Amino acid sequence: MTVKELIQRARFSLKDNNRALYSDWQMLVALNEVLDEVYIELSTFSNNVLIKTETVCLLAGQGELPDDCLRVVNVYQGDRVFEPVTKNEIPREREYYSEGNSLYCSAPWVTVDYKPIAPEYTVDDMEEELDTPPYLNTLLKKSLVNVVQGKDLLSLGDELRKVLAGRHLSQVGIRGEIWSNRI
Amino acid sequence: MKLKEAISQFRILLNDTSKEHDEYHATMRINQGVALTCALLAGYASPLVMKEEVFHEGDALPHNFLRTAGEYPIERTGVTIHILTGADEIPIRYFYTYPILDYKKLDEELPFPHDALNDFVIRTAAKLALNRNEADISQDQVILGELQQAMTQAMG
Repeated sequence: MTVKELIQRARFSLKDNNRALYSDWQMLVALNEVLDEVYIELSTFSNNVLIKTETVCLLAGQGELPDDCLRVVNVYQGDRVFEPVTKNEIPREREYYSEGNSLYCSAPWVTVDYKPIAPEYTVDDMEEELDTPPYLNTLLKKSLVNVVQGKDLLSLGDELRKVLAGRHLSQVGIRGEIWSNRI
Repeated sequence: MKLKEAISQFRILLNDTSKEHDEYHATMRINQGVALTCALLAGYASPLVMKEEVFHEGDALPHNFLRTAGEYPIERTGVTIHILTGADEIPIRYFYTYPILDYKKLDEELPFPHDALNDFVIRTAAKLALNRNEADISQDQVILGELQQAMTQAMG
C-alpha cells in the first residue's frame, strides 16, 4: 500500500475525501508520528516484523551500524551466531557489543539483523510503498485518524501485539526440549 | 440566475415597487449576501468555496482569502506568507469569498451553481436592507435561521 492510499483510507474515515479539513502535509506529519511509534513499539518485543539485514565491515574491532538502526537483533557470520556481551567486556571470538551507532567485535565483517527507525515521508513521497506489512494497514489507518484528531496512541502497543500474536517465531518447551515453530 | 433577476427578487422581498433600492444599493446588499454565504459555506468546509493555488515565499494572500483547508507549514504575518520548510513554493488549498458583482453588469450570473444558495443570498441581502431601514426583521431572522439550518443539513 502506498502512502497516498493509506492517507486516502484515513480521509474516508474522517469524512474528508475533499481534502477540505486536513491538508496532505498535516496527514503526513501524523503518519510519520504513527510510524515512529509503531517502529519503536515493534523494537520492544520479540517479533520478526520490519527486520532489516546489512553487512557491517569492521576495522580494528569497530564498525558503524546502519544510520537507520534502532536496535540490533542478531549478529552472525553465515550460520555462526555471535553472542552479545556488555560493553565492559572485551568481546572474544563470536561475541559482540554495540554502543551508540558502533558495533564492536573481533571479526572483520558480520551480518547484522536490526530493527530500523521509521522512515520519514514528505509530500514528495506520496507514491512510495510503505515498508510495513499489509496486515498492519488497518491499525495504521486507525492510529492515523486518532493522531489527526488530536487523540493519543496509548493502546498502540496492545493493538500491535494483538495483530502480531502467533505471527512471529514462538518457542514452546515440550518434555525438556525446545521446539521452534514459525506460524 | 442573472444579477438583474436577483435584484428583481430582492425588490419583491422588500415590497420595493418604486425601486427605492437602485441597482447600486441592491448589488451592494447582494454582494454582502454572497460574502456571508461564502463564509457560512467555508464554515462547513464546503468544496464550493475552496480552491488550490501555488504560493511562493513572501507572496501576499489573495484579498478574498478566508482560511486554509487544514494546516500548512506556513507562517502568516499580516497578509504575507513565509514557508516554514524552506521550499520556494507550496500548493495550498484554501477557502475564499467569491468576487463581488458589478452593478453595471446586470447580465452577470450570481456565483453559486444552484439557485437554493442564490436564493439564500437574496434573502440575506433583503434582511440586511430591512435592518438598515430599521424595520422589524425578527421574522426574517427566523426564516433565515431555518434556511441556514436546512442548508447545513443538506450540505453537511
